[in-house]
Amino acid sequence: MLWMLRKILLLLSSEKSPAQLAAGVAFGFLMGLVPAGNLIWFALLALVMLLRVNLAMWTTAMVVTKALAWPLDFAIIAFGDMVLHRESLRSFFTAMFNTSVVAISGFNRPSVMGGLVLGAAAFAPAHFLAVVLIRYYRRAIMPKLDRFWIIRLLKGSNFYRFYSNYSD
Amino acid sequence: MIFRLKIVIPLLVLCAAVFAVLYAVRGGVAKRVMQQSWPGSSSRLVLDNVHLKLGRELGMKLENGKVTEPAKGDRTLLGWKNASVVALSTPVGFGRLYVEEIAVDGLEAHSGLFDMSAAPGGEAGTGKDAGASLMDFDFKKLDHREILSRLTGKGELESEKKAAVLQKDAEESVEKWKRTESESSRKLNEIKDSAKAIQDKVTEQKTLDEMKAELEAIKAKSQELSGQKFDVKNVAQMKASLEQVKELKNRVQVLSGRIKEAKSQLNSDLERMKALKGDFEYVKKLKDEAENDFKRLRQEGEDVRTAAKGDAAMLKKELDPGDFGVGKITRILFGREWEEKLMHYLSLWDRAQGYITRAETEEEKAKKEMVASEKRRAASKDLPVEYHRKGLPAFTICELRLSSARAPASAGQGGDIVFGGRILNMSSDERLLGRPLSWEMDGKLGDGAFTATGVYSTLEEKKAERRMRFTLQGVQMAGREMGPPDVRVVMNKGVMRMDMDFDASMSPLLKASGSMYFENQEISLGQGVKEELRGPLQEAVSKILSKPLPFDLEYLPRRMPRISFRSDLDDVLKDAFKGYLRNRVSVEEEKLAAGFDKYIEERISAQFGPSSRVMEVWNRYGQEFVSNADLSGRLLGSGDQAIQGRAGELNRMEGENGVVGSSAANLEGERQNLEKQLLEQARQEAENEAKKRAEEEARKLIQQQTGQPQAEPGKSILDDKKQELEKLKNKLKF
Repeated sequence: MLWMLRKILLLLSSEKSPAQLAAGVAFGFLMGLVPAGNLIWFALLALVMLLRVNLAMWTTAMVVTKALAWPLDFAIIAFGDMVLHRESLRSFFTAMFNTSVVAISGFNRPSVMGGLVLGAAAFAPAHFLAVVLIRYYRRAIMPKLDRFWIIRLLKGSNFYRFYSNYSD
Repeated sequence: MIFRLKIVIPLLVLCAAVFAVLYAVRGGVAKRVMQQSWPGSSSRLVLDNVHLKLGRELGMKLENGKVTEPAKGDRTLLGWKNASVVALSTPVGFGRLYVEEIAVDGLEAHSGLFDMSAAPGGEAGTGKDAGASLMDFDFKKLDHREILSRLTGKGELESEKKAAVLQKDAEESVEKWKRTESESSRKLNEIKDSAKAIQDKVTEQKTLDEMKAELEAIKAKSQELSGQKFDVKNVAQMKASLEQVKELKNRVQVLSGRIKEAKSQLNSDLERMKALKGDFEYVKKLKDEAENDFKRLRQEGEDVRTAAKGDAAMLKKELDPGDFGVGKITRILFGREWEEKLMHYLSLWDRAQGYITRAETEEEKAKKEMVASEKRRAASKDLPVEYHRKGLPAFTICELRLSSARAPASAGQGGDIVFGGRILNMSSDERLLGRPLSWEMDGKLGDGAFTATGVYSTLEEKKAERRMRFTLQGVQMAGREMGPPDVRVVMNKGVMRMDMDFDASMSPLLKASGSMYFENQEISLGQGVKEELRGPLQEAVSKILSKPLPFDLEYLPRRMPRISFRSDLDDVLKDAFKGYLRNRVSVEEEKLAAGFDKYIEERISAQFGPSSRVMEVWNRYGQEFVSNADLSGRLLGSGDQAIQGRAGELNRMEGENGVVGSSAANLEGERQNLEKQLLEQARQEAENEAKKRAEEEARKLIQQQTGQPQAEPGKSILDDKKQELEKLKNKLKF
């Protein structure tokens, strides 16, 4: 946990592109909403692996999203059920249902569909928001934190130096 | 990025490598898996190559495969050049099996009953004629023993076991009877001859008459001698009578000796007769033993008949056409092991059906979805939503292609196709598929060629689509005989063509109508036709055969086909066709339908019927025995009587002779006593006389000597005289 926190802080204060970090956040958010263990989730995983997405941010965002979304499972399922039963989409879904690969993808599960739709819908805003926040952090917050006496104390400690060397 | 590359790329490379390797060896792996997982220990699957196809279509192709039986010298049970199946991959995801094509090329099958790969030129070692047909299922091999073995696993009928025992016993008995017959015949002849000889000897009268005459003479003499009286002074007469008595006694003794000898001879004849009777009893005992054997054989025959009836009932039950499912038919045709395999696969299929959802109607689907949806809404659970699946039956084969090949006599010979065809639209739900089952086939049948095309719809409203057209042409008719025995028509040459249209719209009744055509025909009439009728009949038959011969046929299961010809040659060809069918297919079916008891009864009678060897030998033996034994018995009986009669006569004669003998002895005694008396008297007189004379002389002498009579000195003179007298007495004694 400590390592993860340090990693994030390092990333935020690093020269990494905010877009990559934000992409990690957005994908993490998306995949946190989609239940694991189906073809869609694995397809998203493959996408994450192939694109320039920061994996640390992605992992963190996914874990946090799952933790926060867990109490809201019922709402996601209900939303997915509503989408799946939408008349205007019935023919589309029927066609998908009658293709072999898509049929086994699990799209016809309300939790998967709900998570996918919400995650997809929130992907862009999440990405945009993440970029904005990262830039703001770097510009406004990071310098202030660096001057904070506790941060300076921690950074100056042997423990911190040892830990930094060891973790790097 | 580097981390990503470190993980992703090796993973991708590994997956690609594994996939590449598996893809490269997919055929080999599949072949190995199929060969090793082939069920059953008595058969083996051998494949040359297996090709797999993965993609939009899933396909498998098996090259040069065969199922062999290692236990029977690696005999090929089933073989093919190429067998391929192609199914759409899409429905598999829904648990549907949609096979686009199944093709089997170069199919050959060898069963105990038929070989489905005979070439037109015939196959060496199979005993089939040249021109043997691919479709020549030899149902004559399907005898009850084969059926029984395949259905019940028993090798033999109970009646056949008993019949085998009966046959063995019968053969042993027949041999025994033959030996007994010759021995009995010989003994009976001996008995006959000996009994006759004895009887002739015993009843011989001449000797008896002589002895009787002698006895009468002796008796008369005895009477005569008994009546004789003797005077005291007639000693000579008495002596003569005594001599006669002695002679009589001699004669009695002689006669007695003859009688004794005759009796002794009679005893030996009696002993001989007893011995002959003993032989006769022995022969009768042999006959009784043979009769017991025969009774035992008859009982065994009855047991066979009883067992045959039981077997008939059992076979009827096993072969009840109503009980004929695919399992039983498979068991008959291919054996129990294949039936078990088939039933195993069918049971697996039934279980798999649970995982293949049935195709539903639109209304059912909608209702189901609505109910499911309502349930989900109510339960708020994460249940998958079912959408309408495209209409697909649970099982569909779009095309099944079959073709056969010539079974190669040696490796390397190619396979000419002699039978080919395809079956289209085999489906578990014709309504959903929208197309009925249809087929087209062509090939060789005998020395002709045939084509068969047809369609069969399982839907009630499409019953009209249950028809088939069958054509047969080029069948050589040379040497074929038709018609009843008294009007036999022989085709010297000719080629037959036949068209038949089958209609099963009223199934299970199958109707067919067709026509037969004979081309280039030349006929002759059989021997049974009278000379004056030959010419006109031959002309009439030729004329009839030169035209098409239409016919109608109706067939119901468990019945003989009904055939009616709509032509003038109706009866002749009906019989011929029926006979052809009978010989080809229906003989066993007819027997099955008509009853096994009659069928087996015929078989039993053929082996042990009235004209069999057993009865023949027994009857001959019995007749011989009866005729010989009767005569022998009568001869023995009459011989016995004759001996008894003769013995009686001799005993009577002996008795009478004995009486005469006693009488003679008495007479002799009397004579002797009388003689003694007479001699005593004579002696006394002589003694007295001699005494007187002696005394007189003595006195005279004394007187001469003394001039006086002397008493005392006279004693010496008297003593001398007494001595003389004693001497005289002694002389008179005899």
